[in-house]
Amino acid sequence: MGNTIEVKNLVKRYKDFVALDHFSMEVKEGEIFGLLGPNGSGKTTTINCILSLLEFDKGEIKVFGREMKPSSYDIKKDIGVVMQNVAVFDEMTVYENVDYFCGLYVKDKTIRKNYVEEAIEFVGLSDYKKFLPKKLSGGLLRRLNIACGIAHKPKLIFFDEPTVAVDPQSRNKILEGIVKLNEEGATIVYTSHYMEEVEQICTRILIMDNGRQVALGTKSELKKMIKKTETISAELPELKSSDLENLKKLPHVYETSYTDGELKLMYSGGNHNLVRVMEYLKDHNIMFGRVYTESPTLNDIFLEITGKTLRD
Amino acid sequence: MQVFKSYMKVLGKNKGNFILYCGIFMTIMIIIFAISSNNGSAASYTDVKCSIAIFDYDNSDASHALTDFISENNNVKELTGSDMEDIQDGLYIRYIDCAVIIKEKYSENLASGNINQYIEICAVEDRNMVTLFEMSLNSYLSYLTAYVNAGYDENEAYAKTVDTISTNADVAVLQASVFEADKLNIFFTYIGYVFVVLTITGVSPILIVFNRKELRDRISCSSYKYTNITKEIFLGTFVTGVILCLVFTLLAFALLRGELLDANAPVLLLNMCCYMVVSVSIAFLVSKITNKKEVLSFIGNIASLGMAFMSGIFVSVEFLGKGVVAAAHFLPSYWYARGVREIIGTSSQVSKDAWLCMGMELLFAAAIVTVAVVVDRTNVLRKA
Amino acid sequence: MFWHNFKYSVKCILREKTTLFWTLIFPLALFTFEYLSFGNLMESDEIFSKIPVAVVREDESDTALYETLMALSEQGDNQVLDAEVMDEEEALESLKNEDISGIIYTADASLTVLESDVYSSIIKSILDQYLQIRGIYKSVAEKDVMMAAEIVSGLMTDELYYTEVSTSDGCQNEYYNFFYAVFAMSCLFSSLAAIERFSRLQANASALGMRRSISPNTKLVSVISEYMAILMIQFLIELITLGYMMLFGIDFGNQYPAIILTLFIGCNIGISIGMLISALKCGEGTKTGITCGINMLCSVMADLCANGIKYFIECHAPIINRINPAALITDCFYALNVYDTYDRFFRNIITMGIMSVVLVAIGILILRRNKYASV
Repeated sequence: MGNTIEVKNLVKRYKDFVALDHFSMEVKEGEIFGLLGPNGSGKTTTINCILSLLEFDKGEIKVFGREMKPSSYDIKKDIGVVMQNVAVFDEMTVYENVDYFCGLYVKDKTIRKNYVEEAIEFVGLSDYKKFLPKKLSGGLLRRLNIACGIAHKPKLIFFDEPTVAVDPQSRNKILEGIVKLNEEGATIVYTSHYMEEVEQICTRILIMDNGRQVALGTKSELKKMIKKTETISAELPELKSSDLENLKKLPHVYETSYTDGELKLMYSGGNHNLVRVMEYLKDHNIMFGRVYTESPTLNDIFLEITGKTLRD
Repeated sequence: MQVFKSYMKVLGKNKGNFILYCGIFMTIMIIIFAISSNNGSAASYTDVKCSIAIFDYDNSDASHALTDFISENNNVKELTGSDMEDIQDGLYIRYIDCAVIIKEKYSENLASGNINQYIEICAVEDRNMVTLFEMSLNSYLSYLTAYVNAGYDENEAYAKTVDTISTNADVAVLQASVFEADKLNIFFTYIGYVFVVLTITGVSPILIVFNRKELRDRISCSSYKYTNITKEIFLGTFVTGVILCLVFTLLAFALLRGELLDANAPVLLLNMCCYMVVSVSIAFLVSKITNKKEVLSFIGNIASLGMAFMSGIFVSVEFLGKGVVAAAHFLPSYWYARGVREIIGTSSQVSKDAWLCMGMELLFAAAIVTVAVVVDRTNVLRKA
Repeated sequence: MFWHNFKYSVKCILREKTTLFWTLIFPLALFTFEYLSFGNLMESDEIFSKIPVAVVREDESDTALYETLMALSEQGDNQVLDAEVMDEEEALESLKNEDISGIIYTADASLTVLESDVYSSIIKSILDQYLQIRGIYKSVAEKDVMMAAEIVSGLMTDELYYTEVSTSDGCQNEYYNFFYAVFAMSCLFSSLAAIERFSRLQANASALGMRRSISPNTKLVSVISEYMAILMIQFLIELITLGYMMLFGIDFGNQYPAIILTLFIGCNIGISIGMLISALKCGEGTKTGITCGINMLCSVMADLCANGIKYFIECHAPIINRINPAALITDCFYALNVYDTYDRFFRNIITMGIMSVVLVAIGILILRRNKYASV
């Protein structure tokens, strides 16, 4: 499988501000590639450069192995985009919107009709075909936005923060839909600052900040990049400082904290860590409430590498 | 005064557009002002003078005498050219009432009396002014021919004709002063158009910012009373109107200078301020009717031009039909224009009518604001 | 792809009911106000009709003048006055009520009027002629009474010593300029619709523009289909306005193909101005402001608010009239109305055609830009 997208040393400046600083990435055919970063890290700028909407100062962009230009209509016909801002006509119904945008890619009326019906059903808007966008809720509007971007069955689809301000039900539906599209053969580039979504659906993830790549790899690869392998939390009404010191000495513990009745133990390896903690608490008659373990999140990775959280 | 402050901030952010609109309409005022002419008012009877273009292809003493006669009793004007197209253009726009063409051999044929083929009149048929001029011209030519036919030589015939023409009937005029259009009147009358279109196109876009649903809802959720919100927004609009008044006062002084100081300047400016209040009220109402900026231009032009035509701003009120004038009483612009006439028409003390007009304008403003508030509340309740 | 874009553009325009409503109402309302104000003004105010006067006779010795006035009041094509004998008190009352234009005192051939206007000048001219002819008789009679009588009888005829030459067979109502200006303004205001529509094609102006920019549609096809959609609707509105004005009896002549061509090209200019302005790198408010400004200035300079501005410009800076699209449109209507030849009309049409082609070409070149420094 080759690379669907190749970006090399991309530089984009807005006067003195460097939005992309020698940014590179590759997206393999058939994967769901996650582009994760805080607000203003350059995710949308990257997408817009790849789509040839934005001029860039330096670098090279190839899509489907060919250089991407504004006039690359043969490449564009296989690309679908779900924009961050809802891009639909307020004057057209749901059906008409999807038909219009599909019609920009598919000339044959019969084929297009089928595609439009499938897209509307795919996003769950079959009962809303004749509705105008202003009558739809935020979540349904986002679904319409998606339908307009994928109706023509593209091989490469960009999802630029598609779940912003969306209700949980619609959100789940959107994520399920994206996975299904991928299973049907589309390569997906998914940008978000919601790490949970990226963790849920992406096969490979690139974390970026200030226009630069911070980390790249699968979830497990990214987790191996950092020290933390596990966090054990326990609700303890009382904990003596001596006990805290002893807990610190447990194997693989590299950091502890006890605030507001909650104990946190950070581990840099080891197995069955939770058992040891439970044993200690029982042996020393320390009263405890909930005890749970967490794997490191992308936020942990981001925090360890950059010193700030994804939501800063 | 939080809402007022935010209005002023939005105005500040949009000052570029606001200044652009001010500049455009000041330019329009200057253009209209530039082409207007000053006609003095008559205390006693004076003959109405026609505007005539003369083309003398004979260039003889006889034709010069005719030209002199026409010039003494009428206003002679130059056209852009001498062909029929230029004459037609001048006639159509009423720049001239008639064009007189004195053809070659006019003087040669004067003795025989067959001069009608050598004097051509181009005019818009059946106009009053044309009738007046033709009567006068025909008289002159008929007297001249008559004296020539009576045996007088050319010079004697001219002298006698001039002497004959100098006989005039006595005329008494009942109305001593006649209200003529003058530059002062034109400037302040056209304000009646400019203020309305300027406030709707320049101020309403700022007001509709506050109509955005999310912004409205957020302000409504606060402890700010609805009446206070409305008052402060209107206050902001009023302040904008004051700025407009100052700008146009400066323009008035720049264009009119001494004339403004001779006239009842303070009262004229007060009348202008009253109308400014009306204009911003209209802008306030329009902002409650629509949220679309492109629609504002249409509404602004319809409202301003419609009122201007119906109220005697573009076309003098004496030319309007009785029905139109009656209907115009329901327009604030009519009272403003009437106020201007009343103030300029009286040289010393301002008449009661002028104060009545200003009072009517303020009443209209109050009524318009009330309607705007009702419309706003209706819209809010309907969407709630 | 063109028809697909065109079809949906037309649908969108027709469904923006508020904007469509005001775009249609704008010229109709403007014309209606103008027509109410001065639709019949030329007939009522400018065209000569008999002048009502009162004749006050102190005694019966003023036969000559009295008979002259009565002769001028005889019904027929030559009727100039509508004279009625009254006593002085009644006459003054009528004059103050403006039922009559003047009081003629036959005793001394004097006149009393309310104010100096064209009607009083005409009445005075009649009295002047009477006095002047009486003067000529006295003067010539000193030499030869027979000759004097002959001359006076010659002067009392309707002989004209000049020839009337018509410069046009068309309608010479100057107030039609205002109606032509309505068309001009309406055509130019189609630029507002154009700005809004073309913003939806530009990636740096709207999210819709972004989505449409990444489709495999050439920008040229999108731009032209949008342009044609706006043109079709706007042209239809102009035709409706034309029909509406004709219902009120406004006479545009009968050269309808030429009138329709004028409106068509006028719409093109308006839309192409909007297209060009939509490509500017500034906010939506500024674009609307610039458009309104250009439209207002051009329309005012084409006699929208006051008659005579266009002529004034023609006398002092004619080049402005040659490039002002509103002036060109009104001049087309004027030329079709008053001239038999098409020279002036074609000169204007060709100028407008070239202007719209150039504006459209520049607009397309700018809008075709597919990459932006910032979106």
